Amino acid sequence: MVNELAIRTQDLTKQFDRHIAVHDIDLHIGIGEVYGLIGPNGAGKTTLIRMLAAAEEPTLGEIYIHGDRLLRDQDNPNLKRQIGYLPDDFPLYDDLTVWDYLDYFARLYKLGEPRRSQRLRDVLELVQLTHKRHSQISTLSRGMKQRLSLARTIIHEPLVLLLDEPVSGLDPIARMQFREIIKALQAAKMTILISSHVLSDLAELCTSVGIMELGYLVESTSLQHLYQRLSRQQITLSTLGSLEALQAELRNHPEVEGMEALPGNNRLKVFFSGDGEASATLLRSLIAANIPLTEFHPAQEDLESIFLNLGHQQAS
Amino acid sequence: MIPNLLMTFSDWNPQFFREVKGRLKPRNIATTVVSSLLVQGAILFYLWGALPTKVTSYSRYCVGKDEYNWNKCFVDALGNVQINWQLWWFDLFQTLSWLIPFVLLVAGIYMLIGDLAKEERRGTLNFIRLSPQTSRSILVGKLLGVPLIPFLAVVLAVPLHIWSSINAAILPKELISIYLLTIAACCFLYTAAVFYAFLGGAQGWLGAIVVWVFYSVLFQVWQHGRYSQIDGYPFFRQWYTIQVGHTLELFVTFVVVTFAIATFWLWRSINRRFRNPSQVLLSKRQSYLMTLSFELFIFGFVFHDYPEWCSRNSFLDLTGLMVVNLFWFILIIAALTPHRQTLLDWARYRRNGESKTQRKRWRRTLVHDLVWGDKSPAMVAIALNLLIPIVLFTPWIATWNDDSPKIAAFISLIFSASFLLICAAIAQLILFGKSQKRALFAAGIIGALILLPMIGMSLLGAHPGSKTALLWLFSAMPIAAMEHASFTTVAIGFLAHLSTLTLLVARQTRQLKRAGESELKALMAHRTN
Repeated sequence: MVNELAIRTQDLTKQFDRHIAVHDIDLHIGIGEVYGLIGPNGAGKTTLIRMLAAAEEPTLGEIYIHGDRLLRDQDNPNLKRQIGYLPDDFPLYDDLTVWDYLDYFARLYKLGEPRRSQRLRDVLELVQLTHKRHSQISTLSRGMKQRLSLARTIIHEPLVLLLDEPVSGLDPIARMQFREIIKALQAAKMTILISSHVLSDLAELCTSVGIMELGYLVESTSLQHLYQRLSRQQITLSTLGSLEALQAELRNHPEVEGMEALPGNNRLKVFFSGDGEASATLLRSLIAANIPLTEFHPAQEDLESIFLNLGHQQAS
Repeated sequence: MIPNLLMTFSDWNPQFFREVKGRLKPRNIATTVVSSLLVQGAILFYLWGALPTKVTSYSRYCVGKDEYNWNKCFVDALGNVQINWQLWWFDLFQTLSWLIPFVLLVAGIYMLIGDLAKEERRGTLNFIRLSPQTSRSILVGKLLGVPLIPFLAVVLAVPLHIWSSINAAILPKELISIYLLTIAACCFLYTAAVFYAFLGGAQGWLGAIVVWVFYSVLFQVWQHGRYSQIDGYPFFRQWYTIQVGHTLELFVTFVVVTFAIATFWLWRSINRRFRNPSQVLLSKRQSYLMTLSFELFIFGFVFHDYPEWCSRNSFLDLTGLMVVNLFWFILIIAALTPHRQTLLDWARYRRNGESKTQRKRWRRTLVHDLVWGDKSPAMVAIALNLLIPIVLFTPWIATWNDDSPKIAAFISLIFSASFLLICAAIAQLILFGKSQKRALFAAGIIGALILLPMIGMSLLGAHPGSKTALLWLFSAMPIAAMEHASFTTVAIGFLAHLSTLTLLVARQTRQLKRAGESELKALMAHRTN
């Protein structure tokens, strides 16, 4: 079991002054997983990622990357080659061009020619910056700089990728481009840990999620399991008739746990505990009761709703 | 286009290559070349202007002598002034011999401190740190690459320097000595600049000014040693009675070896700090070895012969050692004293950390941790460091056979160590505080503790004497008043030192104990720190 893990931490703790930023975390991330780390600001996500990247020294605890202990005091060349880390502030060198910047890091990660030039071309194409390869970094837009930072992070083909808020401050198109890149990296069998506040992105990308609050990892499970456990089915209904008649009919069904009126004309959202068969039965009974339905749309509750329903109320 | 040789070098050291790319841009190269040539031209122009003309009566470069031994100008049969060209070339050689190391040291140090401070501030140094390159490779790249512009400016001046040395009939070994000493000084001071930057210093100009002063003094010593015929006080000429200033070869070897050893220790320290910036600059083990090396080095200067006109004065030698030691131990305190977070972690989790690694029981003892541990408070280690000169100098003091007071000298050593220990305790208390600028406060307060009492007493005219001896016992240089202090004064001074130290250590211990309490206990006691 241990050998199949890309990242394993044991009692990982970080204390800043009297404040415990990360508390006794035992994190297990399997090889090839995309692990989404969610939680309010100040929950300890960045500190956890920084410790995993060896950018911060843990107060207590141990970190294993592919079974090898990560120690900050040592040069650790083999372990460092396995890790790619993109911090949320992605500092760059403004005096270099895009190509020179990536070339510098490729050399730092000991990539020799001709592989180096090929790899540079590949990552530039992946992050869609080939046309900017001779531009000074200072002339790039924020989105481009973020993509360049990602290119720097993956230049050495790390096995473990640690991304801290990689889409913050990006416009919707840049975010979509970023998502596509992450999917491409996932296809390349990288293990990716990604923290983000954009839960819809995580829902699209992740295989597992962890929820952090007040320094604790309060939830760590596969996305599928999380949906099974915590996601309720919702059915959106619209009627041409009166809303009261629809509500009265719905109350006859024990699987209907609650309902709320939606903005617009005669629309309802119903929280439904039954399975697909039960929802078909519900539809049949509503038609049989002569309710003039114009919409019957069953759907699962999304990650954002699940997170909010968990009631994590930590102040930012 | 990058030459092939550079490409080979770039694969050897990517950091150096990055510096080449960032710094050797056409505009920078052009500016440097023009500046270097302009400065050389200006020096030549100035010296050319100083040459005598047909109407000049006296000039440094004239070959004649009048009755007052001044250089009188003569004109030959063709109407040309007779000029001492060898002296003219010698002046050019001297100017360049001063300028070349000056540019390398001052500009190089300014750039290194500025570059590292900028990288640390922007967070880019962390990326380099996370790469699989060794700290050695990155730091070599920085040391060679950051000062590339001054290197280029100086390389352009080397041909004129060599040409002037040939025309001035300077021996080749002397020219080579200048280059060797410059390289050795650059290795040492560049490493020291990185050390300073890792210590938190971000003021390149401050480093440059300090080096300017340091260099001016050394250059004077060099000039004095090489070209002066006066056989002055031999303090710098003998080391463990070896005549290091006797021949050029011996002198250069001595200085280069000294710089090499100092660079070695600094190099180990900056490598350690680069790998983990939350560590203190020196491990305790390193500090003991460094202090021992340093003390053995400075101790060598007291073993020298005295000229006939000067009687032996061992007390004065000891005073010299203590002044140098004062600076040394301030550096050791700065490099060894851990900051707040390290101490909090140590106090709170020391036992947890040790039990995890399942070390032998005796290694977990507090004393062992205080003497050798990297994260423990530094007081015990600083006390042990202070013990080194006491142990080393005491047998020497006991064998003094001149009129110097042996007991007063020994007591001075103790007082000096006690004063420095009080400084260390104050520094530790400040660094354990919550202020964001605690390092600055610590430096300011320790600086004030050392300088203000001495300046104040000097201004007030309280020169060391029997009436003011007690006051001087609380200064950084208690040795100044020791000859005038009575037994009672010394006893009162010693008790006062001891009580101050006890109070400070007790306060520190209380703080550490409190920091080691569990969160629950702190919460129950309504404490937030």
